[in-house]
Amino acid sequence: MQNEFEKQVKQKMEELDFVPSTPVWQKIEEQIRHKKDRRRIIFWLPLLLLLTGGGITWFALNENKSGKMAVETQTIEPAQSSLPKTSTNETTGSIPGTTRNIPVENTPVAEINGQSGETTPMPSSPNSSIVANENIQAERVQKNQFKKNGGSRSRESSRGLGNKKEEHIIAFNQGNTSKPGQSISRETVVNENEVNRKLEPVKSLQEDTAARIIETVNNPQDFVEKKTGPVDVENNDAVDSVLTGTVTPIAKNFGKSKWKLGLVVKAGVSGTVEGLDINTTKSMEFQNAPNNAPPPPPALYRRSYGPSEMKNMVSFGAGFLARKQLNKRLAFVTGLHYQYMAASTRVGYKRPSLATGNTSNFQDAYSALAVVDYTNRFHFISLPLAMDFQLLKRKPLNIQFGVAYQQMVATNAVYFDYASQLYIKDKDQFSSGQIFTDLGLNYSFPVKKFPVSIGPYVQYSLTALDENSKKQYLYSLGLKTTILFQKK
Amino acid sequence: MDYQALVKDCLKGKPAAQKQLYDHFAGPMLSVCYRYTKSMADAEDVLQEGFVKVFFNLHQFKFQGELGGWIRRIMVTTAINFLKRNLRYSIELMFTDDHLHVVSNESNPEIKMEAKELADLIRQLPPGYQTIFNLYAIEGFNHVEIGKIFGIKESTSRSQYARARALLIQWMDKKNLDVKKSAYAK
Repeated sequence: MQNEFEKQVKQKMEELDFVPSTPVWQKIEEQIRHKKDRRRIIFWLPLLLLLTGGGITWFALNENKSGKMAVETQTIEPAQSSLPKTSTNETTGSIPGTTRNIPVENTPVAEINGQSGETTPMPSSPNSSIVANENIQAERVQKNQFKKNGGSRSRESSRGLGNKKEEHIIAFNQGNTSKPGQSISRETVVNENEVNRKLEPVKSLQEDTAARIIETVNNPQDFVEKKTGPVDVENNDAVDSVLTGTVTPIAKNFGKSKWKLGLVVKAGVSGTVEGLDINTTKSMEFQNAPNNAPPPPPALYRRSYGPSEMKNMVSFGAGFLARKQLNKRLAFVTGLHYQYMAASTRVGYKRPSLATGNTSNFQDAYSALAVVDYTNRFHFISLPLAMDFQLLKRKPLNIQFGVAYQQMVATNAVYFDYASQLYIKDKDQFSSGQIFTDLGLNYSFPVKKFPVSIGPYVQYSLTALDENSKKQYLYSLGLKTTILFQKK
Repeated sequence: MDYQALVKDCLKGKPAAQKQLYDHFAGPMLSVCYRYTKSMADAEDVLQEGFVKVFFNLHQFKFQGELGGWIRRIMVTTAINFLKRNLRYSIELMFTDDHLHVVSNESNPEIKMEAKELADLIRQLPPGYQTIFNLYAIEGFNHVEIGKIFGIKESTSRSQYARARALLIQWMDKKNLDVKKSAYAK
């Protein structure tokens, strides 16, 4: 029974009434709107990730369904009025996989006189045949218009009029002769041992008894091209196919591609967020007293002392990965990682150890007064399963999406026990096996032996961290670097 | 005021209803927060945090009690958490288990001052005394409950409250005396 003094104090305090300032309501309103939006996003994020990942996977697998073994060839016919031109430092996006039908002159060898632009027929070499354009002849060189396809060569430099700088070289195939008027497929002419991709300038053809003209495969500007389609110049296999004189499919049979191993390292921040249960707050559970009832019994207030907010801390991970290319743009990635996550909370001072549950194990306990920071550390072994999809055709920008099973191997985390109003360190209170969604972007740098990919990532747990309240979910975001081991 | 309709509209997310609920209870709740803190700014922070929790937990209110009482309980617990989170308060909430000199609780002086004056006197108490006094004398907690909230013994809570009460009465007497003196002086 309260004393009279306490009754008077209570009555007086009920008379007290203040008016809050205007910004208070504005801030309340902002927080209400913001929290609802954030919870909406968190609710839909895992679903969105799965849908996006599923959609991309389906799209990628169906993309090359009919054209897995597609072969691309191109036919290029030389222009009447063009000369084979020298290549300077241009890489013009040549057309590997192309075949060139080049009319062959009567004379097997031609040379260009750098001074006058005249050509002097050279005696044919029994071991060589010349694939040359009829426009090599000086008179035609003088008259003809050079087609410039973005090139920087001038007409004069091509002619060599008054200019000894460059002379044209056309590849020839030893042992292959051609009959006049016969179009020779470029691929049969080119000998991979003879072809030099870079231009070899010849000072003076007059000094050389046999004119050697090598046409680079990288200089199609001399010819009118009948393109049948774009060619991926980065696809070295297709380029090689030109050199070898055979046309090979650009798209490989990826079903037989091998696994590539590599290392992955990531660093960022981690923390916890409230889960999908929008009915909970971090610390409060309230029950209503019946009408005209006496003050609420103690049990209701026992839970009014809740855990402190969790703050983000550093997160990092490292491990091995294995990658298998499924098709041109889609790869499957898995591996085994070590993942460290942490989140900080404020606890009180250390209390005498408590026996937890039905065991006689004594655990560290801390009072609920929020006076010191406590770092909750989580150590996981992670098994990721992800798909890596190349977003752009010509740029190695990939999106990676998937899931990861993470087994907690150690933790020092504390949980808040409402009954005792203490923070207790007990590993058994936390979900040891957790499923995380994984989403990331990465850009690959084609380093020769060790291709490197780097980009941001975000992980979000679908499993509640604590088994009791089911309110907190771990997340991690940061930067991830992958290094693949390429075979020599 | 029809609280049921008001709560239903608030749950539907109607801004006007939410504002109306706030306007109706903000004044008294600010008084509650004022008693637990040392400044009006802190009191408004607690009020703001408390009302955010009110709106997010409004669906839990089943009209089995008074809406005002329910909101008040939220404010009290929010205030307690606020004190624990803020270092300038939490340091002084470190109650010791030392046995304090027992002070008699028999005196029941008449309170002649205004409500705000009394509230200011309560706020002048050290934070530990202030909080325990508020919880026991005004909110109706018993010492067992207070002990569990702060992780202290019931006896510690009891002695802390006794000290707070005695100090408050002492100040009130002094204030009354000052008032009388000034009245005589006039």
